[in-house]
Amino acid sequence: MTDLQLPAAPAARPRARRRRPVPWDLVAALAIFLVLAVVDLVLQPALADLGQIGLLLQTGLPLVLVAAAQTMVVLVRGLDLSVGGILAVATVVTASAQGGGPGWIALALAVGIGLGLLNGLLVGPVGMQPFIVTLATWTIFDGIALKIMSTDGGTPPPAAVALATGETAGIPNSVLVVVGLLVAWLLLRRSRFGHRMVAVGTDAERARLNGTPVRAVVVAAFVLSGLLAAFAGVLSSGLTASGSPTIGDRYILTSVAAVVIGGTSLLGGRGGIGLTVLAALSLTLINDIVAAMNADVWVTTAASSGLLLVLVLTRGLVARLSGRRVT
Amino acid sequence: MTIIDGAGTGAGAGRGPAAGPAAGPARELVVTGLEKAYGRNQVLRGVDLTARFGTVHALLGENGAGKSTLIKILGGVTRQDAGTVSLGGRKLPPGGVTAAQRAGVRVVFQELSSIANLSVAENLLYRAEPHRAGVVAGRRLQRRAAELLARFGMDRLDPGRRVADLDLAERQLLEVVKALAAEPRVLVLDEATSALSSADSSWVLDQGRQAAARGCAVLLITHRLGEVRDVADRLTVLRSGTTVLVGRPDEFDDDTMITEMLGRRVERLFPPRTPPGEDVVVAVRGGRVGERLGPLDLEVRAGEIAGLGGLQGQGQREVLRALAGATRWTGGEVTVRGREHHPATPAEAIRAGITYVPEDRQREGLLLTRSVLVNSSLSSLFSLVRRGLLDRRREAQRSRAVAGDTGLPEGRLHAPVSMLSGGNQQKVVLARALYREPTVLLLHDCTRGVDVGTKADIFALVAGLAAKGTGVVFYSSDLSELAHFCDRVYVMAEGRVRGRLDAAGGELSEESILRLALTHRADDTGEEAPAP
Ligand SMILES: Nc1ncnc2c1ncn2[C@@H]1O[C@H](COP(=O)(O)OP(=O)(O)OP(=O)(O)O)[C@@H](O)[C@H]1O
Ligand SMILES: [Mg+2]
Repeated sequence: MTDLQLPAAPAARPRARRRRPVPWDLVAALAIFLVLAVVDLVLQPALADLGQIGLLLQTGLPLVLVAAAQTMVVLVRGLDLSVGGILAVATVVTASAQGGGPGWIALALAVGIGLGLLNGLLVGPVGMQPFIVTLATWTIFDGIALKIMSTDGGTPPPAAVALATGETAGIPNSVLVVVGLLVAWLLLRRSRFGHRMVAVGTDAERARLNGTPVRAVVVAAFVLSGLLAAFAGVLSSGLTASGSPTIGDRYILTSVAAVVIGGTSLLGGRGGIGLTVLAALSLTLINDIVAAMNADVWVTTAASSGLLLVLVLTRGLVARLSGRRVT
Repeated sequence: MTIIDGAGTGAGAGRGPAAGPAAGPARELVVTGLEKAYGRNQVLRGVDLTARFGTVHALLGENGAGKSTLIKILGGVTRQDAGTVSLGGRKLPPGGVTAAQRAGVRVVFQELSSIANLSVAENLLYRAEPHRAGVVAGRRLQRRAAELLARFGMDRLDPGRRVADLDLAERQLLEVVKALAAEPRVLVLDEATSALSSADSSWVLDQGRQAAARGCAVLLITHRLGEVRDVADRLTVLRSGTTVLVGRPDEFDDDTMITEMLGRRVERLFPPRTPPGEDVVVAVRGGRVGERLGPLDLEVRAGEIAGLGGLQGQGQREVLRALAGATRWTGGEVTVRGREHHPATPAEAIRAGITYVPEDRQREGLLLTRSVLVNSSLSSLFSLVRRGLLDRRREAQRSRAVAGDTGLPEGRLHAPVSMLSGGNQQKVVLARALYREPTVLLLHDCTRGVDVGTKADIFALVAGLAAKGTGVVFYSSDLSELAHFCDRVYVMAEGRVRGRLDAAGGELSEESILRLALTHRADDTGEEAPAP
């Protein structure tokens, strides 16, 4: 070592004002949503009405919630293939009310929490791969749903139907649910728990060095996912006024697509529910547009997947051009 | 002077004519009989250490001696197999980070613990965020972070920046402030100065001293004996997981310490210089990278070790990255062996015979979960292909040879790199660079965290390559390495070369590098330095 002292390096230069990086994910998600909304409006001018928007939102709401559920787990660098199973179980539990009260809704949500907890315990404390765990529990949960109700049917409590299709003070409940979800997310993101989730998702080992209870955070993320997926099930059941043990599967890959389109990194630690919601609504719009054009159902799937590919591709390009690392 | 051979003989051994006022036996951190094995690898075999509150205690040892393992146990990250840690007379429950933190232990981890997707402020106050009903009070968080940074004289870190956008030195400094912010009773600095310029290093050491003055026990882990002499009151040397030497720094000369650390003598650190050839391997004329770098003129001859000097962050990193194809030249004329060289990707640069040892081994240098063998052959896979398939046998043979050259522990070649000690991880990156003799070797702080013995080996290896005609571009945050290892040093400031110092002309010394770096900080006229 030398006893010569260098003054602190570039401190002499006044700190340049940081340019905020362009939020490409937000721009992309918004642009896609707006384009699709305009296309849909041109095809069906009648849509320009709060009631109609509420209707459209209603049908999209289960996907919005399942995608939010998926986001929670992806944020901690997990994956939840069982969200569809939890949704299915929740619809049949809700529809088992057969004239019963809102207690059945609470029961469905509690079951969702329980199933999420099971996933979380297997991934966190037991330490299994989330992919394997939820691949297994997906079929198990589907089986449970079929055990409870072998075919579509049943009657959900009126409260569930009202929650999904009614309105409060002139505002469609579906709108309120989405707003509520966004507010809850904003609070969660700013909460101390939110910071733990980001830390665990970014780098579990470093999070541990900081004393983060990594496993507990993972469990909590799965529990939140279970709760949200079950809520999706309750609404789905209210929407169709019945329960369906097989309804869940179609949501699984779509929920992952919404997460990715919404810019949440599958590597964990980056992103959030805000853009996931927008992405889920975009996918709903695609569905609506395809229906308005009287095209086959496969067109919806193809269009959604196409969108996903294009977006991931451009994201990679943008990252490369702006010299950032792809995440 | 107390030399303990073989297993430690007890906690009391460390107490000699200790620095500081006589204090009760409780005013210290005591580690006794610590043992830890990873599988069949017995890393700690009964380590003893006593560090008084109010003193700086250096912990020395070669790469893999078990220093980081010891402090991970202290910090509650790893659980010991046997032995105890007690603080001020109270035993620390094993294996809990939170418990250790509550007891007042803060560790600046060698591989850093900051979370890339959180901001500087969020990291500084991680798990101590000001909040209302669980919701973090954003503005108060920012303010508190700014206050802390100001209090420790580190306000060049912007609390709002995302840690992912910080460079290694900045993340290291953040880590130190974070540990200081908790006002610890035991502060552990695990090679916290290894990635820093001498200015930043002395800031860290100074903060360590000040913490000690406030009554903290500071454990300083470093491979730089100068730092130990500058700030440590006492020292403990570990070798193969046992305490072999305890005492005051002034009781021992460098040779004794090094011999105790390595179990062998090191004759000389820097190899003798051989005069470089005449052919120019790398020539940069008017090179530019964005607005930050250039116009830049630079020449490296075959067999030359060309240093990049100057204050930290004056464009040295950008030069290396552009030559390595990690970023693009945006202007100028760059040639390698007379052929134009504007690599768009690292792969192109590698094909042109360029090998790069990056600054941040964990982020840029290594596949952490893959084995030592795989990592060391990574950039030379094409030379190992036979009939379209990778010749695994040849890969293993060659890797073994190179690993041996760099002093990687035999028998750990199949272990995932993440399980190696910090210094040994650095050796893996070097092994890869040496795997095939490159035309140009770019070294960014290649001795970071490497012990003295291996450092001498590495310098000898690089000098050997140079003797065979490799042109070496060498950047180091350690001024003495620049002054004693290089044939020529280009001193940079604000993205330009401000002057050139030749060893042959007798102009090259620590003082001359420093003087040039400083004079060109004062006047920003942008004029070229007087040509040598
Ligand atoms: N998680 C782990 N799994 C297996 N082996 C490990 C692990 N961590 C460390 N080791 C082994 O323990 C030994 C001591 O490592 P340690 O990191 O304590 O060394 P160190 O003294 O800090 O060295 P350096 O100066 O290179 O940082 C090494 O042989 C290393 O390979
Ligand atoms: Mg270490």
